[in-house]
Amino acid sequence: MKIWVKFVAKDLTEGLTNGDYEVAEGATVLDVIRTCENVCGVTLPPDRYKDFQYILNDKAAQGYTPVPDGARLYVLHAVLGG
Amino acid sequence: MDTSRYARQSVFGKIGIEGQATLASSRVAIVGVGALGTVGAELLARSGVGFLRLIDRDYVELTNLQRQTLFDEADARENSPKAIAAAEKLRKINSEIVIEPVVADFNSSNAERLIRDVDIVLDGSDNAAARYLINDACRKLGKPWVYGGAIGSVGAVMPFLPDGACFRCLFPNVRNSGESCATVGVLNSLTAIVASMQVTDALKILLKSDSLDSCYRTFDLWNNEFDAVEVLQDDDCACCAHGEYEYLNAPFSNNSVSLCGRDAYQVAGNGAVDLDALAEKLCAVGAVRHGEYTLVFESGDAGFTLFPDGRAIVKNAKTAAAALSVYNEYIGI
Ligand SMILES: [Zn+2]
Repeated sequence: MKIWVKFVAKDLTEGLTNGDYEVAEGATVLDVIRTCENVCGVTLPPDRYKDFQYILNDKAAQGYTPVPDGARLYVLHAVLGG
Repeated sequence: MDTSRYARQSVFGKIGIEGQATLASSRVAIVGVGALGTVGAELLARSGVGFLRLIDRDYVELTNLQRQTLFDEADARENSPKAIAAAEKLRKINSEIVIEPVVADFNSSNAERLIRDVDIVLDGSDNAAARYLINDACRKLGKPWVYGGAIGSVGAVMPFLPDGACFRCLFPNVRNSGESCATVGVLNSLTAIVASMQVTDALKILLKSDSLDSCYRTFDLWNNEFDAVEVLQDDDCACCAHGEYEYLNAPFSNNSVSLCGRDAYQVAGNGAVDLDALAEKLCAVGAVRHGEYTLVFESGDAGFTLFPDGRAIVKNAKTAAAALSVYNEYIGI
């Protein structure tokens, strides 16, 4: 199935490309990110993941949240400075 | 009131004379008067918002001057409390509005009191816990607020209305990553833009504009990237769906110690301190500067700025325990 992914936390996700990715049925948010890493030939340091926030179809999601076919996934991180 | 002051704003069709009158009777609280808060407060004051409450626990330092636009070198030299220094500047900019400085830590013991009588809250804070607390208090009291964040060249803004998605719908459980403006820096052009966008959203909310949306706007100025992510209310959100105000209901301890960044910790203290009497005592063991609102003490590596309510910001402390130890040694709990 096809998932549209946008990486908003660019400095944390360098090398990953926005766009559609093909993932297996039943994939979770983390499965989608790992697919993106494989396709783009990028391996993110594991500690990057803890700073990510996910918005799946306009709602906050967790790494283990299943992703429906045709979903829109934003990968971002909270901006907390001020 | 001389209305010519606002002529360029009231002639703007989306505001008008009527909107200007609405702003004059509006009340805004700004939580944190740093990079975002100073710009936000100045724009709101110049816009003619009738009442501004400036809440900040900190004092002015030289490193603030690059972006905290209401402060100058004299404020940094004197370590003036930010809320007081900002209020003094704003009164020179607009003497026709009411400005109320509050030199205090915004915490669960005072959050509701400080926002109960305002129409909207502007976020000028710099950490996750403060945003969750603002979110809890605003949601409980039915107040809108506008989040803003900035670090490096990356900024984010989102307005939160009492009946829409809340901050916890967007970030259910975010933590401070350890990155701060002190460690990775921040562009002053970024903080000015973020605060300007917050103020624009605040004006839209005060004027009940239908141009407001529920997007999380984020941008990287250096890399020319701008994004808007629509965020819907989460029907399982702890705060807005289940009414659990975890941060607002957290007990506040007088002896609590919290991180201020830059190797500094805030110790809440145990009530009012006689700064004059303490200054006399401390003169024997270190350098003391005693101003109208603060007592600044330094002895070797140890140092703190003490406020009349007993709260101190302890400098050069590597741990909370070390900060508490300095407090105990020189101020006593
Ligand atoms: Zn919520």
